[in-house]
Amino acid sequence: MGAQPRRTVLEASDLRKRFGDIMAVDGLSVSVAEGEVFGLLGPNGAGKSTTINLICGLLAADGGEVRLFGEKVTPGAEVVKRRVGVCPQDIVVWPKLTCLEQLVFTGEMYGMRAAAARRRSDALLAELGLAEKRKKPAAMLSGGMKRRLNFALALVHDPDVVILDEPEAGLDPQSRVMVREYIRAMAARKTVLFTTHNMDEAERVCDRVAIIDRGKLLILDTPDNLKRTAGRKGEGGGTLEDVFIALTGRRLRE
Amino acid sequence: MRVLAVFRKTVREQMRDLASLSMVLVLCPLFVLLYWLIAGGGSTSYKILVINNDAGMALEGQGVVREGDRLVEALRALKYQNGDPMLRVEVVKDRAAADESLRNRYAAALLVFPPDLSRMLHAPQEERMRFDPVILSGDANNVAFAIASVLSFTALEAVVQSLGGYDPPFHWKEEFIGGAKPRSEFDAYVPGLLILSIILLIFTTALPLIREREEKTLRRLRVSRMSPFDLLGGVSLAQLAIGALSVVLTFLVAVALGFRSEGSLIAASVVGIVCTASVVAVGLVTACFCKSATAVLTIGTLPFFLLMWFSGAAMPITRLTLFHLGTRQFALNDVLPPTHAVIALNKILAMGASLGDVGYELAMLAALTVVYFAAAVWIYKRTQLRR
Repeated sequence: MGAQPRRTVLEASDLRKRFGDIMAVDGLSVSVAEGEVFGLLGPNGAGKSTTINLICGLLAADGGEVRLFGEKVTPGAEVVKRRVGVCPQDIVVWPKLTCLEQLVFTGEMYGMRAAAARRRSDALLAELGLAEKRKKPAAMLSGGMKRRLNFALALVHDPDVVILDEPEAGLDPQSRVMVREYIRAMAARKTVLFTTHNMDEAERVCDRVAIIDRGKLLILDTPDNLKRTAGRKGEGGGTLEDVFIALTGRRLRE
Repeated sequence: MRVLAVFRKTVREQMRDLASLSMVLVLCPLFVLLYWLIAGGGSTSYKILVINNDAGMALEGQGVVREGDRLVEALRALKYQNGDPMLRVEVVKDRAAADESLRNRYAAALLVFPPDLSRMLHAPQEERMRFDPVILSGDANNVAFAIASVLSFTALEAVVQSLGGYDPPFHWKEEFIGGAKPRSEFDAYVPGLLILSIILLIFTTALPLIREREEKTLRRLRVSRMSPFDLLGGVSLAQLAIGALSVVLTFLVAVALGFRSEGSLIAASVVGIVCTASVVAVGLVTACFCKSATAVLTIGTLPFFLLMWFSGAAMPITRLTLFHLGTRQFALNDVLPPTHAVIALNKILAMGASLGDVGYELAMLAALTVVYFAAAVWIYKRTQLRR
């Protein structure tokens, strides 16, 4: 599925992060190759968002390390600012700024010149079906449109690695398909790491998925292999969701 | 330049939040207008009540003279430079009703002239103490009483001296430093109102920064190449622009209402704008310690009151000198930027000083701006950009 993995772009080794008594990330090791769409799956509270924050340098790890393009990631690391785009799980937009204004502003914050940021913003707005809303303040957009704008803000500076934290949450089916196709199309040029607990989304988009729970890596493989392996072990075997439930259990999470 | 991008963004957001923008822009001019209205068009006229029991006395060749009436006229004749009366004199008869007026602060002071006031004033000086006294009554806790008392005494003393044909007990002359002349209360209060309004910028500076945190956009900015300097610098420039506009508007409104300045209003505006920059920097420091808009409104009251009460903006304050710098004293309250702005504005507006004459104060304001801004950048990085 998609481009063949090439050199390793992102490597997390024995990553650990504790919040009080809770071990949010517990010895996690994964590597993501260039051009790969990598899914980080897990139930609520599994440690997905903490892992992303560690990868982005928004949190300092208690142990282990993250390397991006061979450079060690520390809080505020330059390599993250230069080469990574992050789409947070929440809708994080400036409500009083128009779609175009906030995209241009974000581009400028990444060091782009205003004219280049404007060109790139216009293109992104068109690609994500927001061209007609370019002069509308974000506060006046529907929830789905805000989600797409949230997504566009992660891409405006044309990063090499795109980290998406549950990008399809709150999207209607049409927007979900659009974003999914966009992610697949991006994979030709970019490395994508995204978190989700939507198995269908992961199965359709990801080259490989890692299922984590309580901060630990449970399994890592391609969606097809996961389904096959789990099927042989008698752990469901029909869908990725069966695998997920078999590995993480049926107990409800917070 | 990222600072300019943040500046443009902050201005746009502020322009689209008309309620908050108009609060900043219009607040001070509105204060000035309100004060002008309350001060009766420029100067406060203190209401004093007079119970004139003077029975008068017959003087050879002049018939019956009533010096009580003459004193009332002298009180009424006391005027500000612009011709407005300093005292609003009301002659009444009922002492109980007059006392009630004083208690309710409907009047600032009460003068009671004794029945033989005229006889006393025409008696030889050494015999005057035998007569019933002129009574000056009022609420000692009321500042207006103190002012009205001095004004009344000034008016009465002049009449009494002319009647008795004697000079004051010693020869003295008032001199005003820097050529300052007596000014109306409106003239005197405008700089204080201006400084107080500038101090309010603490809140409006902190709030946009806190909004970035509350709306989680700060998280987005943290993974960008934006530095704390870019963010704080851009927000500061936007607040400075808005504050500067407010300063200019305030002076325009004040002048339209009759405000008189001994010095250049452009020089005064420069001081106001530099003071704005320093208060904005204090606002940035405030934002470093706040996690929500509510916190800005609670924690922010500390610097607000410090700047208001201990800088001399609200009232004259005793200086607690720490050390001397050449001919200059450095006091504890000199770490509060408005302290220097209050002095500089007084020199310009009341004494006609030029910008060169307030160079020390401007230098101190600029230095404090740099110090507070640098502190804000350092603290913001540690309190808001790290987890």
